[in-house]
Amino acid sequence: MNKILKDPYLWIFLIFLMYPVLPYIGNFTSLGTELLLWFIFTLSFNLCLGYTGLPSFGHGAFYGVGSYGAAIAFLRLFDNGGFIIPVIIGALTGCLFAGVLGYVIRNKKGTYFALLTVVFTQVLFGISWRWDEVTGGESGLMGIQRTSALGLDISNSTTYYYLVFVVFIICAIIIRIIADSSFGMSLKAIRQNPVRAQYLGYNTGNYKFRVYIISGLFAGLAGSLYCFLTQSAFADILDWTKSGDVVIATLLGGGTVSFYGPIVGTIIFLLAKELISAFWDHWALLYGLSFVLIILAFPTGLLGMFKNK
Amino acid sequence: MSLFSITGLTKRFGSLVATDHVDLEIEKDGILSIIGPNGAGKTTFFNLLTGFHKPDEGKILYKGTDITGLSPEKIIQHKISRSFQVVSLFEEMTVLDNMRIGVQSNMGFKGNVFRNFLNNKPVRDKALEILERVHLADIRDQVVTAISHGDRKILDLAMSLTTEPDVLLLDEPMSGLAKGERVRIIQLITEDFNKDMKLIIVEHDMDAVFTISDKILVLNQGAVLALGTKEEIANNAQVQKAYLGERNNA
Repeated sequence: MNKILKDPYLWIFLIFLMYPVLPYIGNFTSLGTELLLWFIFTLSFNLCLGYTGLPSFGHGAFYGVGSYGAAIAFLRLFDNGGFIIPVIIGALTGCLFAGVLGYVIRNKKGTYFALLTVVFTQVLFGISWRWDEVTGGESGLMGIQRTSALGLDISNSTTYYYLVFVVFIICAIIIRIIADSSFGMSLKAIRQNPVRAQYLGYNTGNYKFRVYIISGLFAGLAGSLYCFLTQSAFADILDWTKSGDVVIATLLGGGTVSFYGPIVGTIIFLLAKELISAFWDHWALLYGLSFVLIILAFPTGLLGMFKNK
Repeated sequence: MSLFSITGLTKRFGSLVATDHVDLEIEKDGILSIIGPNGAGKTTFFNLLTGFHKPDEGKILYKGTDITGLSPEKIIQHKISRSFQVVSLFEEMTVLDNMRIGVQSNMGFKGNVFRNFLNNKPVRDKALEILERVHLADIRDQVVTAISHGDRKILDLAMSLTTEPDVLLLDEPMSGLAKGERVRIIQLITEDFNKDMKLIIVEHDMDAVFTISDKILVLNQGAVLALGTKEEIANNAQVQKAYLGERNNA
């Protein structure tokens, strides 16, 4: 019994079992929806970091351009209307930008790869901050209305919460299928020993490019749904700290050793952020310190800690 | 036609000429061993043949096709495979999964996002078939960090077989092994691998070299010193002076 209670996967399962009833327990709808979007984002990011070993430290770019893509599609292309098509455009925007960056850096390694991703994000941040005509500049893009989708009234935040929950379940299943597929194991092989993988016929650059596109698509989807959650798009979503947050959440949970690591890390990261920031303005200091201590003590994250036992 | 036709092959690392204008014809049949003192350029020559290094000069023709400077994954498409001096495995995976990675690549499943890795029966069957061939099937479920050095060496060789090569280059397959394990590898090379493919072997163990080889290539300071049968090499005065003599006198 004690062993069962210590199983982290049981707790993850229970959290998701509770998810549909959480809006009726407390004021959880907005945070719960944001968590679900982060789950999609971090799970897809982990295909790059945990599975392929790509230090993509500017991954927030694809979440950000997904958000802007959906917002611009909603406001400019469809004259303040729609939901499904702007969301698809947002996802494809993330995919497109990931494709462009992934193609350029597919054969770069380690520090060079990481730095180029960060620089790319900062360039996009600068563009979104300055290009008033398209991105709204400092003022951002406002007035994105949730009306209806698939016959549902998504102006109601609880309905939107359930819609995002369904999207998350579908995304999680797809990402899990990819992770367990021949392609997913090819990614693991490339991370563990790229030279040997090449001598078994793997074009490692091509695989890095492909996983980047897949990851960018899901990150873009999460970003576009976030745009409809906040009904706005601001440049701060492209700030490098967003990319840092997703790395921290993924490593903290144990993304390098478990598929579910990013979910655990995200829950702890966002809840800690919400709770501590309510009491102390300098919450990031405490959070950063805790992160350093946890990673030093348990380099494979929280699920790695359970796995090692 | 020669299997490999090599002309003027040169590789420099700064001022060091590791491979120095090598001209060589490698024939299709038999086991060819490459020997030479430390720093003779054996591994560099291997790396040039298998695309790990790009040559500064020269040309490599394989069955008449120019493969000079091709990347490793392109070289593999020509059915040329290699093993590694320091075993090169996927350390977090089991013995069977290491084999599956090679087999799924060869069978065209490697990029498939809809095919489950573990439930792919053709891949599993082929991987097990090779493991049984090299007598590692009993340890298929062990993570490779938990198996002996001898088994790791054999697994490294077995992974090279997953690409179904016509030519297999073995880089010091006997290094770091105890006598019993060397016998296992010599048996595999002479009684099994030799039937299906051309073998080119870099090796320091002279007993093994003179046991398994049909021809021996001697490199010295990046250049070809001699190429011939075992008897020709054993009686070659230049080879005696440059390499074998040193060993015999030691």
